[in-house]
Amino acid sequence: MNAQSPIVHILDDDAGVRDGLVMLLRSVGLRAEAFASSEEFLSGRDADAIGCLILDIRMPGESGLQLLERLPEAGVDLPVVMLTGHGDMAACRRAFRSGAIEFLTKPVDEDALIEAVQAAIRSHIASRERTAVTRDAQALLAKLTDREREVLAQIVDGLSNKQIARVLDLSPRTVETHRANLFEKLGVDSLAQLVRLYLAGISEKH
Amino acid sequence: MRQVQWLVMKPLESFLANPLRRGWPMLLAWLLCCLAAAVWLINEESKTTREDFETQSRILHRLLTQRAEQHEALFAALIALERSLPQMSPELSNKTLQSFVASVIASYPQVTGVQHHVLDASTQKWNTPEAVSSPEQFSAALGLALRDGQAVMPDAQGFILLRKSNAHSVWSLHVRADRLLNADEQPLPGITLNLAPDAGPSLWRVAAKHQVWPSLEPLHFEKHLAVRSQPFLMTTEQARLPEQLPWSQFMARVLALMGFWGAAVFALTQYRQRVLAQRQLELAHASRINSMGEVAAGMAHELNQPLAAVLSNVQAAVRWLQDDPPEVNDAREAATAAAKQAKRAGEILQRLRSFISPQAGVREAVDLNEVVTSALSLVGESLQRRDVSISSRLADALPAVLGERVAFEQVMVNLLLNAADAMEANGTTKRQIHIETSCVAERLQLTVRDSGPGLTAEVKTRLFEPFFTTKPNGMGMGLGLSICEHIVQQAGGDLSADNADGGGAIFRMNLPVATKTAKAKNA
Repeated sequence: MNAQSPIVHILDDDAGVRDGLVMLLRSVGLRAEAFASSEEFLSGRDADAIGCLILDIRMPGESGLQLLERLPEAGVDLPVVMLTGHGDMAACRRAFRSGAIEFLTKPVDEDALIEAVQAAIRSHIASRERTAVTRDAQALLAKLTDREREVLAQIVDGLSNKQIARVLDLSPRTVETHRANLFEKLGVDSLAQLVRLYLAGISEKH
Repeated sequence: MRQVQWLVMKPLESFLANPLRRGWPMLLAWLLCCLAAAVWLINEESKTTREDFETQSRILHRLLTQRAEQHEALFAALIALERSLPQMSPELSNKTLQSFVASVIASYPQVTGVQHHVLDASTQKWNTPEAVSSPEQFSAALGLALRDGQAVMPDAQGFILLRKSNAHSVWSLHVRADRLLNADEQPLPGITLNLAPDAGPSLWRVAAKHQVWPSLEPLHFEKHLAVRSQPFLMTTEQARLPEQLPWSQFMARVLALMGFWGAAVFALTQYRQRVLAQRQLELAHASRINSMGEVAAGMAHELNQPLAAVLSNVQAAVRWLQDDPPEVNDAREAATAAAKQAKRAGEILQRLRSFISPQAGVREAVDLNEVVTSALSLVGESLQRRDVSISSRLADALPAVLGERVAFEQVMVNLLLNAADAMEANGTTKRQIHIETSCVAERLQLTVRDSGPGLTAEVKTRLFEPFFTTKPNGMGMGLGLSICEHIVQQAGGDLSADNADGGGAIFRMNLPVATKTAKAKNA
């Protein structure tokens, strides 16, 4: 296994359950790392690692649900699979609203667990990739001047050069120059590429 | 169900609480028994006495009648003799008479003398008036005998019977009264006997030798002698005396009753104690069952953990064995872990079973820290669901206490659930329970402190009373704490409640450290 392979983080206060899950995940070839408390997890995890988090709802101290709600502000982007001893509807709803991607009851069946873990890892990889694209687009967009950014917004809105010139109170020729610079700076060849890059760049803001 | 239990339990509890006050009807019953026995005995005894007395009297009457008949026969013989005398010579007649009298006196001890009185026709004088102490009285009696055919008069030693033979001849018989009856025929010492003609003074009187108890009417018997010529009235009386009452029998019966009463009280007390002990056992069990709802929720989660671990490990082991080549070492590790977790599940079930089953009272050396841990595993889950956070400071190397492990767990569970209930009912937002164990000077202490409203003065004084509860109707029987107190006291300790410094209630369980010998005995 290399350093790039995904890590399944397991957070459960019960050592028996923890070790059992580690065993099961290892038996299907997944790297698993176990933590006994949220503090241990937050301080001991590898922040760059790809993977997911299996989180037990009931824990002494901070509960699983409380931690789940706190994950974004703690800078954790791992998809979360919740584990619970009893199928409590209210807790289930709260978990999904807080972004959990799966909700499993103990004792958990291997197929359900492995499927959930794999889906979570796939989702994490996709989200990391999306994040990378956005970051690239933002870097390119940052090179534009304010006027160029104004012109870009009008182009993406579907306005022609003449219409843009009228809106921004410029000469059509100046608009044409900005447009050429835009294509040059952003390294795109078509209007379609320009729009996709623009959308990738602003998606992060929402 | 609770209502029924309440109806049955309440009077029973109060009865068991006040055995002394309930004792007086028993005492009264005992006194009445004694009194009835005394009345019955006295009645029986006086009936027997009366019967004896009447029998005695009838015997006396028969004997005296027999004697009277003897006198009658004697007179008849004398008169017959007198009629044959004129044909004899005076010497012979005198001699015959004397020998007859001598024989009579010999065979009738009561007859001391026989005399023949002849009235001189010319002088109108009797021939032997000087034979008695009072001649005038005797002459009068002789006259009476001539007129009526017979007469009687008292004499110094008894009485004299007179009988007319013909117009100028009267026979007299001197009777010594104290010889009327033989030595073995005399009336019993308690009996007063009187013999008298219907008109006239007493002929014979024998006074009782006992002192008379005046308040009781004496027994009385009277009957005329069954001889027509001597119809004397025989009267007997017997005083009823306290010392004649059967005191020893009476005492024996009182003692027997006392013994019976004592045995009954003893048996009842024994029975009460057994019922009380049994009831306490059942109550303790019932109260455990009562908290089972909470306990079961915690247990379900407890049990779920090892089951989850077993499943994961077993599935991992299967996968490793299916690899090509099989990963035997990893599979063994997973299987070993699975077995360990399965054992843990078994232990949890064992704890649940011992908690709900009625206990036979097995005393053992118990670690209070383990009791705390065990109780928390029983209700920790339910407390957490009720937003109660728990902290604890358990002393290291705590000495053991001697008692029932499950009973202590029950006390702990009760204290924890009570604290949670109190905080919930009060709407406390920051719900905390703090548990501490310590050992100071051979005394173990376990405290449970909550952050609830604490105890009012009234609640504090009545807290451990059976059926006292602050919970709404139907929420609790009010038995929890009284049972807890009973359990702790059984182990030689005490349970107290107070308001903690800084708010909330604090319950203190004080227990003695198990001595080495006690531990060895129970090891």
